[in-house]
Amino acid sequence: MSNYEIEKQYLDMTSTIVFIGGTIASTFIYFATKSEIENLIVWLITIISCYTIAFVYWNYSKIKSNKDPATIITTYWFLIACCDLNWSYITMFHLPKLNLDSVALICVFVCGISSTIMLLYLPARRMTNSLILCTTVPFSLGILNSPFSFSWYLAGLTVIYTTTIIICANTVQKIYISEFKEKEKNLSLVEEIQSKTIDVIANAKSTMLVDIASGMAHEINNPLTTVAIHLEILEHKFKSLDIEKTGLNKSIASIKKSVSRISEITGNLSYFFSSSSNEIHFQKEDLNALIKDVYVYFYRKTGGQIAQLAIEGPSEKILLTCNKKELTHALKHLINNSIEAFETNDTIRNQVQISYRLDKETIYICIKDNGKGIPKHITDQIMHPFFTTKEVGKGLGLGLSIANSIIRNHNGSLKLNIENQKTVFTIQLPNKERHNDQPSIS
Amino acid sequence: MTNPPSHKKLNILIVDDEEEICFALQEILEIQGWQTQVCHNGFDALAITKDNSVDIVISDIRMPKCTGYDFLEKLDPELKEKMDIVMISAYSDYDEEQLKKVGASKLLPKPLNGSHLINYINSVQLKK
Repeated sequence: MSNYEIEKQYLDMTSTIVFIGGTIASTFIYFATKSEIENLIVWLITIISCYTIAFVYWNYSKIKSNKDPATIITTYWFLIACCDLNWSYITMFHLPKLNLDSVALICVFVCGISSTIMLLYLPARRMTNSLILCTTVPFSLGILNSPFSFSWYLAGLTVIYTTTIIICANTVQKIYISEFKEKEKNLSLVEEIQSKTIDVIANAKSTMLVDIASGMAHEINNPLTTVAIHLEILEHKFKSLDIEKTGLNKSIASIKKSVSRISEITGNLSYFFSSSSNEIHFQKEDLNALIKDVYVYFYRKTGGQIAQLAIEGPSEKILLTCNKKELTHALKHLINNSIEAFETNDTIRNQVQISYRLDKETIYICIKDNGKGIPKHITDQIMHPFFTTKEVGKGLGLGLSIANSIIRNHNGSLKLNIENQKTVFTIQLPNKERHNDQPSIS
Repeated sequence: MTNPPSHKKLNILIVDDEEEICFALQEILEIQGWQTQVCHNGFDALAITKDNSVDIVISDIRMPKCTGYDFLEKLDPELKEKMDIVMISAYSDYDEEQLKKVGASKLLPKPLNGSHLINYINSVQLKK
């Protein structure tokens, strides 16, 4: 509910309380009292009490803090009060002089009740409805009973008075509504500006991170190139010498390993921060070939020494709209994770299975391993960037996060399941085209 | 790193604003028996390649004055046909498709793996 609606609800509620109170009190006083002075005193006390209760209630409501609309609402209130006072006055002091019969009194009462109901159901037209009823009832009764009498005079005054009030009330209501609508509009504008400012700051921070990561990668990779190449030169030059005795071969191997690790860290950091900002180009690729390339890459990398790698897929060719480089990158991260999950190099026990299938318009790629597994309590965190269970220096914890980000960029999803103590990462990718006319490449 | 092959001396132009990288590449390529030339921006590379003596260009992408991309765009298409151009970069934000469109034959990320580079040049030499 908007602020405008809340404030309007308060206004409707309080004015209705006052109107019903005033009506009931006036009717009750008319029948209960005989003396005119006594009538006047009780009438004044009742009216003042009603308005005091409403005023106190009003002041404790939320609207009090809002100064500008409060001024308008107070004016609105004053007009309602004038109308109510006038109606009560006519009912109390004028009706007895008109010698009305019981039917006429019932009419007055019914009019009061009707106006109250209309107030409840037609809040926006409150002023108009109540004022018309308040004015026309005594005016009509006055005409019926004694034309050209005091009732005529009073009813005439009431018409002029009420017409002025209606015009004022409508004007005030228009101002009231337009002011609040304007305020609402301003508030929504402020909220929009705030939200956009937050977005701009977040984007600026993100861009800054990309720039920092990219700059860092550049500053590290350039000298690292020099180190890596000179290392290879050294290795080549030492080849003719018997360096094994000096232990230099171990030092060179260790430096090479460190260079490779630094390179991997800068590569992953740079990739992680820039992947979201770069535009990705998609084109149709042969999924069977893509998976086979990844398989060959890992077979060469591990030399078949860590685990058995297996591919399982359909014989027909599957064309997938994707970015080959990115998807290969994601698969490499996932398979690398599987390989790193083995604590021993037992090629009989250790198994990594890459399976894929096409089901209607979805491609499923599963990477299953029987490594040490992922503890249940961390399954929610494994996709978070920089989350790792590896020892310090063994990994940045970006692999799964990068894989997940790439797959999401392909409008797909990456899910982790544990099946019979096997870890299964399932990639789901949307696909719209299938070609069965070409032979299998696997 | 493999032992130097005994066939024709390739003329390789190394373009990189980092002097240390140029020196390292020069060293490793000359061990292989290839001739090298060095310059530090795209404008100089355009001037050197004009005489039609360069077989392979190894160029960085981001360089002051004239980038590797600008160099490729400005290079005479006839010369581009005859040469093999290897682009290298320490940044990962290069557009591979775009670079290949303007004439790059191979893209290698930094830090460079010397053996990979040598294997690639050997494969180019076999084709020539």
